[in-house]
Amino acid sequence: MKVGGNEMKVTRRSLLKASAVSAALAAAGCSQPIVKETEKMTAAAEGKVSVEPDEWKTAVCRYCGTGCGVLVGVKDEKVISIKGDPDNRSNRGLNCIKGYYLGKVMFGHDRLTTPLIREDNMKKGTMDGFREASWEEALDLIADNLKNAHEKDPQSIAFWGSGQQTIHEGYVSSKLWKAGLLNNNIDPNARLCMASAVTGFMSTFQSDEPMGCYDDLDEADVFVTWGANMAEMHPVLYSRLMFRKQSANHVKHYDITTRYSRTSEAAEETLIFRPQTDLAIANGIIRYIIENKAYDENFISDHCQFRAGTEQLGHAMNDDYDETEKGSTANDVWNISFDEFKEMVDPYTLEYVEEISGVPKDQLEALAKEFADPDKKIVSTWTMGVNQHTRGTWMNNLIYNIHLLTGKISKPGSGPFSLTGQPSACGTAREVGVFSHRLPADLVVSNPDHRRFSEMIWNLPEGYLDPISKPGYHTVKMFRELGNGNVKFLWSMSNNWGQTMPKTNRFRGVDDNGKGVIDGFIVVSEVYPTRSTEMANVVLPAAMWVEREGMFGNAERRNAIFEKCQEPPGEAKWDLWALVQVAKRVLDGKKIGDHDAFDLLFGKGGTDIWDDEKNDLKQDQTEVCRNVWEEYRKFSSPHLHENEEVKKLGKELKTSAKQLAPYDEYLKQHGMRWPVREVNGEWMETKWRYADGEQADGFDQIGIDEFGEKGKYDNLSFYKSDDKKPSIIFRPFEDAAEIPNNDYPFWLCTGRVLEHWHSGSMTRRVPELHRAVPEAFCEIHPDDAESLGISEGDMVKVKSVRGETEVKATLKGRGKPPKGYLFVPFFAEETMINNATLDAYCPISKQPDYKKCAAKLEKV
Amino acid sequence: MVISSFIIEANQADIPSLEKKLRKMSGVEVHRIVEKTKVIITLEKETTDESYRSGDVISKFPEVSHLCLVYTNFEDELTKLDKEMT
Repeated sequence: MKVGGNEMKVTRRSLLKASAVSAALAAAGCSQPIVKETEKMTAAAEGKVSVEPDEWKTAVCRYCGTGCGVLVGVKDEKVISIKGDPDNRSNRGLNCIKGYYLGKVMFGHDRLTTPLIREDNMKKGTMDGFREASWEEALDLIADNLKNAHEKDPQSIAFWGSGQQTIHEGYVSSKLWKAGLLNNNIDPNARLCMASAVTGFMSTFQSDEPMGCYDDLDEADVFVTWGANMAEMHPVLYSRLMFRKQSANHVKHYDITTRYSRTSEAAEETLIFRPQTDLAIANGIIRYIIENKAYDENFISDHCQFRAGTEQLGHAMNDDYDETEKGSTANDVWNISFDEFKEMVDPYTLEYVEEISGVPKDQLEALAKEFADPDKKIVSTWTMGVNQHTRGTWMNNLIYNIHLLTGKISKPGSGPFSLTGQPSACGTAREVGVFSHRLPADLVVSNPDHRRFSEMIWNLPEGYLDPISKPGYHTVKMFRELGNGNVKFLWSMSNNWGQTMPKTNRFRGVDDNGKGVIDGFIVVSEVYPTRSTEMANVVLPAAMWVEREGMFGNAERRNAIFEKCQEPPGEAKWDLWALVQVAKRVLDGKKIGDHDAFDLLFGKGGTDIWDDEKNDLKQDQTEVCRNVWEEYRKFSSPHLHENEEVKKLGKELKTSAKQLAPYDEYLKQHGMRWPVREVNGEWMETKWRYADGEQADGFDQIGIDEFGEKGKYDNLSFYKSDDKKPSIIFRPFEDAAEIPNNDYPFWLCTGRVLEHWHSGSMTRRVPELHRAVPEAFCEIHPDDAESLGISEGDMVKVKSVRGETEVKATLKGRGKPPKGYLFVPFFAEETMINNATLDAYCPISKQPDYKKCAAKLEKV
Repeated sequence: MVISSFIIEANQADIPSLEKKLRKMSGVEVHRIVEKTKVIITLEKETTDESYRSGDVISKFPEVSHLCLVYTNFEDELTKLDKEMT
């Protein structure tokens, strides 16, 4: 090799390529050394130059809920390269193409770098009327307003969190609100994407989150996607599905959807159904299985109970729905016999289902036969089509019903798998309990034992949490009450409610009275200006992704750490720092028992993340994260607690069913799936909950030993369920909240596109992603377009009774809607499609339905 | 210079035609076919945006069932460093 000559230039590039190929080969499962690849690379590998960054740090992608591990190359304290993390067992080194911009999203030209205080309230709805401020002034102002509102009316404060907050940030938010302010008006944006999955799990299994994992994708014989465009929304998992199909010729994929999407393209069968009738389709499959005696009798006998619940729920259109007779009893279920269940499901013949769903009987039968085949391993996956549904909980229950009846659950290659949309909807919103009705580790505020257990973990006096026994405002209620003028203080973090709430006009204060949003005091913690910062009184500039340390929990129960890799720009700071600074001010002078309230909650008496000497959050972020985690971990490790009462009550509540490992173990292992068990000094994850077998092989050995029954059919024991038996709950078809009519003849469905993450506040700052999909569009069937005189690219007005927006029509988009159906993505802030959407929600999960309302189309 | 690597997944029968197309693309080097269905390539482009565009083009080839990004190095100073070294 010639040093100082042209050869070295080639060598450097070659060495970089060598690193690139090595990473790809490792991810492809090939370990042969790259030096054999080309002569140039061999030379490079022998050279003295290095293209390696100073350090590779462990991280997790900050986009969807797949939770792909990445390694971040840092040089001179700047992120210079990113590669898939082969040691992360969720993605095994693979990333989707959005991975190119993981680094770049941090460098948008308009990053918020200084706290902003609004001086002119009349300019709400714009980014005008702000002035720059110091953190001290902004924090004092927030604390004063929070304290004043809380003192006048405790119910007038609210916090809207996120499935994009880290586990630590979610935990601190929740602890501040629930224990510090004794207030349950805290809810995450995960209410908009995952709440139906949660209530589905809780009503069927009495424990949240999937029993299986991504490994099931590698062994399934049949895939069924229910309302999930995996190809665009979960590309890395879809790639795994595709690889399974390519490696085994018999594998089939059924896509059940209301619109032909990229996911449909490679599916063997696509079942296009009339919106809302997925309820009937699932019941049709169930009836077919029963009629043909294709259910697993032994499985049902050992593992299932049958239930029915409140029906004819109506729809949550009005503010008082939750207090109505139906609204207040929507959760009720009761036991029935299998024979009664059979009778209830009897009307759902395939002919009847075809009639109401529009799916041909032959297609329905083909799918039902797959489930009826005892030798087939089936994985069902679903996301927003099922969850954003006025009967979202019911749809989740119905998918479980099918898998329970056929015993296709908790087994490698077979199981129902609820996918998540956000990186930590599971880890933060669900597991930490950033919901208005929850506490950590499946605990709920309404249960006195759960509150008592939390009091003991948090060193609070007995009965201290009694004031939070009633759930607070769920998300839609929170924003409705903001619009009614009853919420006077709102703090939102890692979300964009000003764009993503349904029926947005009302929640932006531009409804008839404009109350609440305009005169309420609103704090928005953000990284870029958004439709929500426009509504703020104070904007706090936040550190994003690897500008601070954090941890996400993904869809397969895997918690993984991301390390801090570079400093945030300007004055931007860690949200957790801002939360604790506000806590310090708000709790100043307050006592809990004989103790200083702040010290008991966040200081040495509690989480121990405050430096008394410096009067600031401890500087070492790893120490802060570790201390938060170790306190949080006590909820699911009562057996390690020094207090015997904690041990006893924790065992009764089975909180160790979600056991977690010490913080540093997650860095060492690049993430782990809970429950995590210590076996002979080694921490081991669980791939299949409730399945007996060796813990080292990924089975739930310790959980079964502690809480389950050994020797049951198929070596399963659903130990968290009532009587150890999950419920097969009859859930009928009930029609949509709003159905197209003569005036509004189209179904309107909203969603995402591959290139843009949620409301586009990050991805639209990346020029190439913006160029790829620069504006929203309205997909329309060519026949509908022709009848309205609409051509490709025409501007059209999409209108519902609630509002309207103008958007470009497309007849040849990626998706192919059926006749009478429109699809508009919600990422573009200038195309406020949520002005038109409906805020009716599932009466059980309180999750709104963004997938169907009635609309009309006018050419502009 | 931005250097990336990808795993491209395709049906075994489509690999020859895919490989032909990839070899014609500027900045693309095909390194290996793994398990008969995974093509390992590197991509060299001046900017991340150009790399993304090429990735997007590849992802739209009819032979491609999936494109996985594995590695990307976007160190701005790379060219400068090259000069320093030569």
